[in-house]
Amino acid sequence: MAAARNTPPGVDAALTDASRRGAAASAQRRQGVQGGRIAPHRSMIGLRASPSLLLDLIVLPAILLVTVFVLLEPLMEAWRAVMETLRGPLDLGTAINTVVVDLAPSVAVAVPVYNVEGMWPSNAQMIGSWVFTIVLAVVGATLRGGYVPLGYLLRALAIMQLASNVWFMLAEPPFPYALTVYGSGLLVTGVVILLLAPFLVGATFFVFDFPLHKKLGLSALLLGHLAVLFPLQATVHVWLIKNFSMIAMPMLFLIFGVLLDVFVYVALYGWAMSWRSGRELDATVRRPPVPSRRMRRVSSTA
Amino acid sequence: MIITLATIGLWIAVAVLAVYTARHYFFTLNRLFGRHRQPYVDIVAGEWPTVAVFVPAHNESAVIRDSLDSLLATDYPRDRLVIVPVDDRSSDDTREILLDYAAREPYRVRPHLRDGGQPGKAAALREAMELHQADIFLVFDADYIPGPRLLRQLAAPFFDPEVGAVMGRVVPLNVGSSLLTRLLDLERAGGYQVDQQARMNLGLVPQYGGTVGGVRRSALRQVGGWRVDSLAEDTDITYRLLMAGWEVVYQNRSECYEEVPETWDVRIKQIQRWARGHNQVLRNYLGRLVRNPIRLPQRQVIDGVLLLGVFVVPLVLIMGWICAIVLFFTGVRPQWGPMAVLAVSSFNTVGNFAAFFQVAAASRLDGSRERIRVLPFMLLGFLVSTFAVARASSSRSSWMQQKDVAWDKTTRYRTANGNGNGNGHGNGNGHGKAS
Repeated sequence: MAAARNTPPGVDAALTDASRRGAAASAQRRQGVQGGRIAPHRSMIGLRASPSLLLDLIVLPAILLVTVFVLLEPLMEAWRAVMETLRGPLDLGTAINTVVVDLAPSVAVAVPVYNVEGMWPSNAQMIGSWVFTIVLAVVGATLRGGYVPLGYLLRALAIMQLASNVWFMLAEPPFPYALTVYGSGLLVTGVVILLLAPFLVGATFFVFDFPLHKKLGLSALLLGHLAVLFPLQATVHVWLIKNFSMIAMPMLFLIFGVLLDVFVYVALYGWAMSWRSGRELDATVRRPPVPSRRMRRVSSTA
Repeated sequence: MIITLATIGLWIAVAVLAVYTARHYFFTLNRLFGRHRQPYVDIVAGEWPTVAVFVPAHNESAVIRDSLDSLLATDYPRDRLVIVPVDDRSSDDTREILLDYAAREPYRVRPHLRDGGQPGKAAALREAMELHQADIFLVFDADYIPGPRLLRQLAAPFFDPEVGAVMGRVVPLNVGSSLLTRLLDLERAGGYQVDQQARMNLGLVPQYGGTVGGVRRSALRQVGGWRVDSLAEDTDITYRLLMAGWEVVYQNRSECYEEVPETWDVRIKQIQRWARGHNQVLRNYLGRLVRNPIRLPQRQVIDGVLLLGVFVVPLVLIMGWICAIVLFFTGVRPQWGPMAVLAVSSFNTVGNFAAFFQVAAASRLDGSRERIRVLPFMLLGFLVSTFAVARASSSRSSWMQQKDVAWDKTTRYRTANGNGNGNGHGNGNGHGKAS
């Protein structure tokens, strides 16, 4: 402030002029001969933190979280309807029960659950599981060339199933987890993921300069996809365990549980990240030399 | 007893992975929103130092012509540049090619031909460098194709007397060859565009990657030259320079194209070699780095330790999986009910996702929009890397002193007439290590 008071008359205006000329010159440096924008090199590009970005990071996830909370009850009803529809044809018990789970103090959710018992594996099922394990291991070990990663996946599954086989050979009933508890646990985890999803999208997608409708679009895709996936995933798990005994549970839980849900997001995220942002993120994407509105404005003021 | 051990093991694994997750997020956010530190990129004129460019080669007849042609076409002052292709016992016609170039450009191309001594890149470099007195030693692998301005860009940081080494960015050339090359393109983008640049921005420990970079001769001499018993002479020199007080600089703008492995077998061999070499460096320097005798800033010590540990993480991850399986079978219930479910779910979702976030951000910065769609397939790449690195990291050779280090060369895919099956185009990408 002291410096400003001592500034001779006219200097402020000159500085303002110089600053404006500097900005114009800087803008012209990024303008191509045909009026297009010279893209910055990819090593130089970055994003700018702005108040609107801060709003996107805080307010949007909060709105989405409240929306999920508000829709939880109808969602549970929808899940119940889906499970009720599938229960008969798949022979998954006589009724759909309800488990009330406290997510937080004074926040409870009534999760539908199949009323089915999982059985300890019979001798035939044990043999079947061993055959399955051997097939996984052998196929996994013989895959070559471009199928090597698939081979690694199959061998990892084989090791997982081998651990189950050994455990069920040595242990005595009962299995530590009842199928009803397992089924409800899957859906409760699903509810938790639905509540976390807005923050996940916020932390990993809203930070970029995509327009609002694309940010909301990915959120809707993700929440919608997961909302449909969870009851179907629980149904498949329960059906497999009911028909192939508890020996199927460890692999389903550890490999095809939350990990699968995460990869639903990875897949949708990978797609969404390939959308055009129309802003800074698109700067390194090759475009025809059409002057942007901002560039025309800067040129005319210069 | 087993339950206690498994619980402790699981929490250790979760803690270690949480630290690396936070690191991924922090680096990515820094790269996206932080101030880019590229202090030397604008230097275009000056009293350029003398430079010797070393190109170690062992049976590289298919690719070395491209590399030498590119080096000869650079705009570095002719009287200050000498190119030293180092032929180490090639059994193909690499040597004849080098002699041909030497005959045509006797003042600029001075091959160093080896028929004896210890084999391996580090030994070859050590021997050749002892015969040259240039101020700066740059190193390019024989399959690399430097652009015309690259040598000036890489030499410019050495105007700063505190800089001991410089590293440029490695960009895959054969991106479209297979799913693997596409995945490596994404991984390299994350490693260079985000990881290395964030470390440069934050004043941490950018890594000299052994190619597309170089060292100051006086710094190299001060720290004792290349270690010939090291499988990762690049990481080794990074840490020795760091602990001798030299700066290692990363130049994101200085790009050079390379071939990445096109088949999984080659990739597995490559990453296992990196893992063994990196773990040797961990064994050699972790204690000294933590004791910090020259009082490095704490942030550099922490980053240095985390960087040393990257190839141990897969072992920790597998330990965590085993502990989780044990706890699952023993029926141990979470102690805090829904909070534990929330914590585990949070980690599984946000935690597992950090690496994908980094890679996607890097590719997006690169303008490689559509390539990000293969992101889910990175799970397969992670799976292969995890098991391959875990196997290498648990091997004896990973931790014991090496007696015989031989050439362990990554397969080349270009043919001698210059045509490869790669169809990359100049918008590729880069991971903390080159081939």
